[in-house]
Amino acid sequence: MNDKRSPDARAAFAQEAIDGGAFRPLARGGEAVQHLRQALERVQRESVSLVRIGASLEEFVRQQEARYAELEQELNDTALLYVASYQLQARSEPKEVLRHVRELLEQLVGVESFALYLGAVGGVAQPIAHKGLSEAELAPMRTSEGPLATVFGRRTPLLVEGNPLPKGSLAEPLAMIPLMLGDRVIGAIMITSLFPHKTSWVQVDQQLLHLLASHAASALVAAHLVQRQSDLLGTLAGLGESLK
Amino acid sequence: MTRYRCLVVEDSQVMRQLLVFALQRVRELDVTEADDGVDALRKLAGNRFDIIITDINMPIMDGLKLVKRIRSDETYKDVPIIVVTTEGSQEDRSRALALGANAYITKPIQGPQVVAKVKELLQM
Repeated sequence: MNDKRSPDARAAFAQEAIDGGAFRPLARGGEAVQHLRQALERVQRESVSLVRIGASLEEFVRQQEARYAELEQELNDTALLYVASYQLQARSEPKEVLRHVRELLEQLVGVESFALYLGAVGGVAQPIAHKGLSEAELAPMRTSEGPLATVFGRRTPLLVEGNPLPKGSLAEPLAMIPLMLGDRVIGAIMITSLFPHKTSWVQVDQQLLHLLASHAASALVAAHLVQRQSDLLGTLAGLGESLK
Repeated sequence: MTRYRCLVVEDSQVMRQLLVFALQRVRELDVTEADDGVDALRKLAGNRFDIIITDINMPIMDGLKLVKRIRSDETYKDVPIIVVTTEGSQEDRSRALALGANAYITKPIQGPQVVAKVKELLQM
């Protein structure tokens, strides 16, 4: 290209072009790129922030799920204790009470074998209910000797720890539960084995065994008294009088 | 909201009450109780259930016989069955599953565990 204009004329033309806005689109293009860059940086910052929010939300959801599971478990345990207590107190015959004690141990705790000893006449307790133990294994036990001495003296349930739990026997039970009537021990439940798939105690087992310790004896004695009472209504009238 | 009907077959009052407590927490579930296998068959005959939970060791008719009877009934041949038992042995598990049970839970049961299994089988 051969521009025959003088340098001054060319400069004047260029200046005129600049003044007239001939290069504005290019300048605007530069601004747009700048804006795009800034927008991109903003989006990148927002994206990082969103990822952080997403991660914290996921963590929140995880925590809520764990809390929900925990509450469901607590609700289950409370229901279990309620059912156990309700079923024990709803019986009016001693045999029914014993059947429920057996059911609670078997169905709710997973007890495979146990013996329930009652009474301490002359310092000797008699086995009145059992499961998974032979008659030969069961004999009256002195409350001043062996495991009964421990449970009669201790007055709170005693559970052997371990996972898996060791093999138990009447001489060395896995758990000993005193049967409390007020503050007196009137018997004990000796748990000698759990089902094979149950290798250790869970938290609610302890609560359930404590519940048995404080409720089973009174349920048994109350059922016994009701059964022996021919004139229940008369007794209740007497009760009303004594409460006045 | 789709509603599902669940039949709980269990002779132990303690266990039945506990199962019903847990299952009634699922809002979409209506729970019916039966004392044993015979009672269950009676209730199955007059109603439509979407899932059945049964104990194995029961008087009159045990859970394994019940599963067999249910599976031979055209109406219930595909209904999910969960077997609950005190026995943890592989033999019982295999027998129940071979007869057509869909899942097996051993006692002592946990309510959330049963609910999770029910939801899984009903695809809730």
